[in-house]
Amino acid sequence: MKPEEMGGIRLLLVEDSPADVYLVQEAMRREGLHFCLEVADNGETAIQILNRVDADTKEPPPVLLMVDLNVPRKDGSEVVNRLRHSPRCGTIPVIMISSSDSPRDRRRAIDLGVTEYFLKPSGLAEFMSLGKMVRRLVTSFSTAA
Amino acid sequence: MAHKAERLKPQSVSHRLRLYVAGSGVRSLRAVQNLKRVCEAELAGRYRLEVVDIYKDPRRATEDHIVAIPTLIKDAPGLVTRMIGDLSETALVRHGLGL
Amino acid sequence: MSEIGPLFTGGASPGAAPSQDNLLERLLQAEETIRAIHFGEVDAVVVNGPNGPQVYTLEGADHPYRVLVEQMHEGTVTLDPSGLILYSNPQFASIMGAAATSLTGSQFAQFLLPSDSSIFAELVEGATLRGHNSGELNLLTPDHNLIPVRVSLTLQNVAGMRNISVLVSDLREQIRNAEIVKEERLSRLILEQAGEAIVVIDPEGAIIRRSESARTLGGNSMLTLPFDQVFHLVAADGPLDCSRILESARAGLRLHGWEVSVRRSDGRVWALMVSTNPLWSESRELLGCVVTLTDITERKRAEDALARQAEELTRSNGDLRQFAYSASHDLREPLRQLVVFGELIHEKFSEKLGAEGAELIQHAVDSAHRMETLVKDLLAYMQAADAPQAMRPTVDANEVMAKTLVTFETQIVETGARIEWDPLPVLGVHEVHLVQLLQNLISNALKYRSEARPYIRIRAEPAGPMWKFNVADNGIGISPDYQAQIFGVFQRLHGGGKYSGTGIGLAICQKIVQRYEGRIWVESEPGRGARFQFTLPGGLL
Repeated sequence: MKPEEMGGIRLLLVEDSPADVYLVQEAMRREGLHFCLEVADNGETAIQILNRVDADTKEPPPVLLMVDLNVPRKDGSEVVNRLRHSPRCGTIPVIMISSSDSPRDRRRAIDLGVTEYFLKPSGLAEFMSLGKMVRRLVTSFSTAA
Repeated sequence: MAHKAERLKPQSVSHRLRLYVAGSGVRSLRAVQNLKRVCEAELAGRYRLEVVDIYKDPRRATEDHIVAIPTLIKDAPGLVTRMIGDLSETALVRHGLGL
Repeated sequence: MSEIGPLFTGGASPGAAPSQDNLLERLLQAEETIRAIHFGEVDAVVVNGPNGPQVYTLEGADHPYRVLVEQMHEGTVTLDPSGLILYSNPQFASIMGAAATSLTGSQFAQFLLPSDSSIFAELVEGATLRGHNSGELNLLTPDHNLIPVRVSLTLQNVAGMRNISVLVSDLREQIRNAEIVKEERLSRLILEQAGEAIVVIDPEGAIIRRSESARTLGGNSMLTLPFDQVFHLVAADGPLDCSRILESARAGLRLHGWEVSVRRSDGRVWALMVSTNPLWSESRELLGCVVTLTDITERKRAEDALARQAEELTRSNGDLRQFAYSASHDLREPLRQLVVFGELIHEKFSEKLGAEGAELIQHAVDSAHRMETLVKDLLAYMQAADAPQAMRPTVDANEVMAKTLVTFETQIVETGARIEWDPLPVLGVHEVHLVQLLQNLISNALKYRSEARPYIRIRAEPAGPMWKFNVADNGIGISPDYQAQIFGVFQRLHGGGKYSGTGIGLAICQKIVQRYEGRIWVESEPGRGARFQFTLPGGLL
């Protein structure tokens, strides 16, 4: 569905693994979140989307960014960095999804300005908790806005 | 002949002798031999012998007016006497030495 | 002798005023002289020539002999049968350090020690019998020096006299020469046969000696050539020419261990180590310099190869580590997904799968789990014993044990375990390593417990420069057949999932212990518990 049809709520997911894309979608389904999930499978495409949004005020900006640290071309941290410098999207919440639990990566993500750091778990239940996290962030952002 | 050390006590030296030799010339050798025999036999410890080799010191010959070698010069005791030849005439040698 | 007989003349001294008596005297002298000459009683006459007194020898036949005797190098004396010196030549006089004429008339025995007297007497006897004899003895000079000489006796039967002429050779020089020659020969042999290339240069830099080995470096004809012409040595700071060598030699310095390279005419480059040693005479005069050139080409090549190898190893090690880390990471991603999707399938299609289908999926998911654990453990093994940042590792084992108790608190309570330890030493080991080591061992002890309440006791005792730890438990024990095996990577003795774990724990322990050059082993029998022992270096707090 188009963003306009969804009432304009648009989420941007930057993830190259189709399996993980499915899991994110499944998590949101279970949580009952029927937003438009736009997927970019590499960092460069994601940045292009952000450029488009900044260029065209008629483009509705996403209300949440979920980004995997390890994506091709430009990696997740570059995407976040670009986002934070975006005039129209700079303040939206960011969930960094990563399979790395190294403190260094966590710290880097925090320095970049992500809102949440989600460690890709090896259990279904834990993965599905992502849905709750999304709902919380979108709600607070919308409320704030 | 057993060798006796020549102890030179100046007061006991009575004979001063000088023998002019010509290196290892035969007669020179004989002269040395003969003279020593007499001296040792009768003047042991009382003689002083100087040997002059005129091949070494030709000029010494002029001191004593030496013409023929070997020549024995007796400086002391008594008058200066000389004897030419190989000194094989022992009686004459003894006489010349005042013995 | 003449019939007239010799006349004794004398009395008048030269220069006395001519008188009757004087004239008579001189006449008699003249007659005597003429008579003696006439009858062949003289050897020579002295004639006043224009250049002073001239001696004319009357027997020409012995003139050459006389010259020989006078001038020869050897000493000679003529002795009468009683040993009286009738004549001594200049050389003998020189040996004795006395005037020849003062020796004439002396007994030869005067110049011999008693021991040599008898030897000489024998020599004389032999010469008298056989005509010749020779031997060696010592001459005692008037100033009490002992001169070793060789004497050669010849019986002379001349004009009725049986004299002995003795040729005297001063052995001192000969002995010295012989020794010098022997030493020279030995030095020459050393130089010739030395394995090193040795070159001796004189103070002008010309090569005066060389060892055989030097020929490989400098060619076959280098003697007398200037050092620089034969060897072109290049040190790190420029050419090493012999002026530098001689300069340091004059300053009394020895060069040692200079690395130079030499390029030969065929283009080959040799790496050499140069050492120099100045040569001094007894009077502190610089005789030259010994230059030793050691071929270190091979050694340098080996050193370079080793250095390169070490570099490569370090690099590849780093690469490997990097690779292992990222590989393990990448390997775990799909495994994780496998597990999650396994669960999803199970959830969504449980009715369609049925019990059997569910079991199949479970096996798949379990395998994925296991694989993930294996990869995780493998990564842990690879990283085990990596040195952390701390420079000097040191840890108090008692503190580590206290922490471990906390770590295993839950299990201790669950199993009712008792863990005790004797006072433990300070070890020269990184804390993380000791933690890992002890935790693995205690974890195993708890895991492989027997029916009885687990009891674990840790002790340590000195073993040379190390400490030997003993972790004893009362668990199920290990058969001797497998005691070596269990330290292997992923080696397990119990399959089927009865005991959890991938079997990496002990492999990690071994790796850690080996890093500190210690050992780890186990003493155990089935049903009798296990005593794990390991050695680690002591440390200072």
